[in-house]
Amino acid sequence: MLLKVRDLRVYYDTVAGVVKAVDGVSLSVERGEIVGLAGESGSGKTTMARAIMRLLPSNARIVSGEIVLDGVDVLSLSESELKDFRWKKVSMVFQGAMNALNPVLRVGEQIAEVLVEKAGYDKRRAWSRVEELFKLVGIDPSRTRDYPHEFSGGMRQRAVIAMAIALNPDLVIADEPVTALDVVVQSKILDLLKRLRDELGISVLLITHDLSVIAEACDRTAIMYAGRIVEYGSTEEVFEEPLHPYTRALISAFPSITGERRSFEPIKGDPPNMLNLPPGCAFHPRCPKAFDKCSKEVPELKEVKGRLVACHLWG
Amino acid sequence: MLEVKDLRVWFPARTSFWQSLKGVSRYVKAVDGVSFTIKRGEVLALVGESGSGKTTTGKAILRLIEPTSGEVWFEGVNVLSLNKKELKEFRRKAQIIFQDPFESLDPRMTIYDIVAEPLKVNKVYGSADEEYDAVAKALEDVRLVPPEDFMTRFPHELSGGQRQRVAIARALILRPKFIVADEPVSMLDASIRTQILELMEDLRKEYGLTYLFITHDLAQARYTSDRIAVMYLGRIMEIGPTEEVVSNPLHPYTKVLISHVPIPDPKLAKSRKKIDVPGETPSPIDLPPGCRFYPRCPFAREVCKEEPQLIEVEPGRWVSCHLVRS
Repeated sequence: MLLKVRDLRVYYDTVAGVVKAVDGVSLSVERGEIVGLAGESGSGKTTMARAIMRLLPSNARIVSGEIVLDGVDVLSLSESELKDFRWKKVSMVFQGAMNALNPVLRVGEQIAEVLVEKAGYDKRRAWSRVEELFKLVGIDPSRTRDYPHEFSGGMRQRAVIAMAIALNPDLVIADEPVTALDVVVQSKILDLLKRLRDELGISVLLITHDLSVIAEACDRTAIMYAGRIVEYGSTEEVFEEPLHPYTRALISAFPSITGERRSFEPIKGDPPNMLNLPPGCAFHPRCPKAFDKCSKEVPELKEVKGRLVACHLWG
Repeated sequence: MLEVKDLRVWFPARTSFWQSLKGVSRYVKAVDGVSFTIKRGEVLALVGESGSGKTTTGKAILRLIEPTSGEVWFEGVNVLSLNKKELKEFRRKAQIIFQDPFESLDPRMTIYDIVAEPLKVNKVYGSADEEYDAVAKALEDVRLVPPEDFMTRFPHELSGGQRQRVAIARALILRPKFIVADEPVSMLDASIRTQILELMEDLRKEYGLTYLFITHDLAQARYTSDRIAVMYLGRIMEIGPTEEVVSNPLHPYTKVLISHVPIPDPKLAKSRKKIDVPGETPSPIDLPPGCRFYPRCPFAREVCKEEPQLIEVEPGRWVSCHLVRS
């Protein structure tokens, strides 16, 4: 087991009240697998990523829980220990990072800088490593001295991924890595992530709102709703036979270019107000299968048919 | 109902001082010779990647952007030759819904004022009561009920889905016949997306509306349209009945695109074959002559250096490719 998150709770103190962004989440990632963390806006998926990176904003509190990465207790690391942890153990591709490259620095230079500053590479070794990384992510190494504006969108995203894997981390957290990219580029970036998993044995936690991206790239999938995981299992099983009513409804909300043209099963209502969550299961006001118990007790994440489900329908 | 003929929208591109001295002018040919028709009550999906010109096409049809040349025939009149007063009349019949419900609604106006604004601008009703009833009905139409609960609120008090409903109510209050929907659900969460798409379909049936549905998402187009037009770099590559285009694309670009669309089914995703294609969509400045897709096309031949025309290769199926002929 590479990453183990146990009963994590991260709350934000806001002027309007306490937002329980992540409220009792347990999640594990094995070596060499791509795990998808899917959910709609406000479900807590990005907070999860930031907590694992120890990059939470100042109004966030870790109320309880444990994060262990390769035997290291992440939540107890000191500031100086974090310097050896980020980039080397875990790195993150932020949403929109491809547009956050420094426009006045050569792309290669920005990656070399990481190698020099975080791992003490000398300049020459850093540049040869940059060339190696370019090859690895599928950019012509002759372009290390280009500026970001000379790169296409897909190449910039490849460069950002090259930077993330520069110091051989065990885990890369990719937050919406293909959102806003065109279809063909999207498909090539997902193929790249799969190839890096196969060739380097890297693990990826892929965060996205898009279930078709999950279906394309992830070995296992966790579905989040209102700060909790509602279902977690092998991607094929989750899509084949979703056990949680929310998973089922969410999958049916994604149209497909192939196969039968199903009709949508719209989910009624709006996502919950995170400042004022409904009691019991947060999904119960929108759930077609809700019964008494659902509005009273929060369902625990339990093993059902070889995966984890948090729903009273399953006992 | 609507016929677009050889529409062009060229924007002047920045040229260097030296080039301008030499009299060189460059253009971004955002839309470069686009023709299609939409039948009454039909949904035509205009699909393309970023920079394909799909949004510019939609806006040019409504003259929210002035086209460089071409014709747009709507109920027997050429929209591009309308004077200011006639244009105002046209806009009562043809409306647009934008992508971003967070930006398209004025944050300082109440929902009532936002929805009533087109009535006021067009001086539709003489009395405040009539106006109130029309706004109430428009809000009911988009299932914001009871309407009184929403009228006095401001956009920031509503969810994303509710805001897009308000935008639709405003677009529909003048009882238009034709709607350009520009990525109407792209900014919304998946669970809300299906609600809005269903609502648009219900309204289409209820009011006999005709839609030009602009989207980057082919799978979404499959579920919402009767026919699909695929754009690439300012031109239409292929038009045809939705299921036929999706299951049997004829243009190489459509083939490539469809082979890469992510599939929300892990088993199907694994088993399909992607068609490899080099590079990414280039910028629409200084396009090479010939087929726009020629430099990247896996099937390109010498003849592709000449511009292909959009012709009907099978009944109802129009393709712009030298290699696809009836």
